[in-house]
Amino acid sequence: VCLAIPAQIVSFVDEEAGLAKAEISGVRRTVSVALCPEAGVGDWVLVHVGFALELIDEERARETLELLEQIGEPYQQEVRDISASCVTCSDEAVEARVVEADARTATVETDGRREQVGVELVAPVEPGDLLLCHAGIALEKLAEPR
Amino acid sequence: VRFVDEFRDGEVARGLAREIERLAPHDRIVRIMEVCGGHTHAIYKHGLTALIPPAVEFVHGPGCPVCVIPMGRVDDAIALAERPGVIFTCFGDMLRVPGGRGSLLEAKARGADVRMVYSPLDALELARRNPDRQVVFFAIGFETTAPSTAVTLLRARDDGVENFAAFCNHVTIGPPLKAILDSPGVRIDAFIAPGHVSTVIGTRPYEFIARDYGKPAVVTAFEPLDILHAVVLILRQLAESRCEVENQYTRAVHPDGNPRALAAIDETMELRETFEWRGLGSIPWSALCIRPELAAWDAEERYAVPGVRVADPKACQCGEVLTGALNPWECKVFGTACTPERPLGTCMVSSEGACAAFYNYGRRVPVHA
Repeated sequence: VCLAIPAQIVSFVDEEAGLAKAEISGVRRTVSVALCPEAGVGDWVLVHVGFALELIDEERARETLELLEQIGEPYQQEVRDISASCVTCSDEAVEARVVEADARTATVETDGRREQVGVELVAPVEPGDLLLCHAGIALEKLAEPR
Repeated sequence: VRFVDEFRDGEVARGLAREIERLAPHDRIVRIMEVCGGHTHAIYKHGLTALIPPAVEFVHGPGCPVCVIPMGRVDDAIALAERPGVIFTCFGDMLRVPGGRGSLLEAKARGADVRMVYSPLDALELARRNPDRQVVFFAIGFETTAPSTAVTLLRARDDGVENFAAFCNHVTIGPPLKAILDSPGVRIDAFIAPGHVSTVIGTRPYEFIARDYGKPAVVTAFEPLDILHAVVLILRQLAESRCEVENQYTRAVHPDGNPRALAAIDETMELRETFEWRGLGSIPWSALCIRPELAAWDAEERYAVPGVRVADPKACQCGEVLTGALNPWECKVFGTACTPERPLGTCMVSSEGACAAFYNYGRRVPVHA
């Protein structure tokens, strides 16, 4: 199945770069609006693998959502994938603050969002530590910003 | 200088720009290769080329992990993804990279179960949740990403997750830099070395650049001010006829890197005898494969991977762009046959690729180019 899910644009992260925060089935995540540059805050778009593919009206968005919910499992799976996704993607690394931690996994907060990262490579970590995270793994403990 | 005010600290940016102006030579052009796609992205996003004098040029290097994957490996990935019962997972950027038989996204449209993940740990979790399926992770990236795959492999082994395997395409940063420095007609005076790779490997692996090739290298963070600062450090070295490896990113990078991350890579992976790089050809000992001890989690061992070799499309000049011989806008198909929506070459696919970065943010060709 190649699903595209209706999402509502809630804000722009980087207008020039075409990055916006969209709410998808209750989950907020950054999507690229490069393919539908006319989209504005409040608009509905169809999102597939992180890209807003098409601007749609609210009525069609609601119809599509109802239809998707009837599909059941594949839709739930896609939403789970989106919920599980984190910001430490591809080759960028982000700074994140530890909220709580055990020997292997820490909950970190970055940009107001929480996610789980593996901390084997920097353990032990404590709440308050600042970590450089990449692809779900903390690579280094950071000194506090200058 | 219209971009200065947008910087987090305009005063510092102006100071650095003045210092660059003062140090820049008057009789020749200094070409600085920023190795990492993250730097290329930042240079275009923040319009740094407008801030530096014409005597200083940025040359975009091979450090976009998506851009250096050859088409044959994409075809191999598609072959794995199309195996019955396989859930094939990869980073989002990799989905749209064209191979000889189209992209993974097109394979997904044909019915293959291809899913985007943000971490190999997500792929491992998918394997735990789907014990009746085989989950394969398309492992790509430099030493920044290899530790993530390493930790995931170790967890898969320790927790006995048998339905998970990695298709390992991890590459190392040193050998391609050496290949570029050895290529005929090389026109690079200094390097801005990657920041995040260096948190893992440290600064020592760059020492051959200064020692054997007499060129400065500065390990650099990713804020626009960091990049300007690195340019100042490089120009100072050149003005004083020094060539050293300097560390601008001391907040995160230790000279020895992260020994535990290196140990995790070493425990799970070893160097491949040779690996084909897009645009650079085969480079010996430049990539990693999974150690025989972990063969059970190695997709290349578990499945018959076709090992396809595909020549790059003729019109595509990614190779010249990746070695810095051509600027993105000088490629024959840039912005015409090759765009981010319909990429021909990998440099146009990833947001960190030189062509995509220039297409999305720049498209202002420097007047002196």
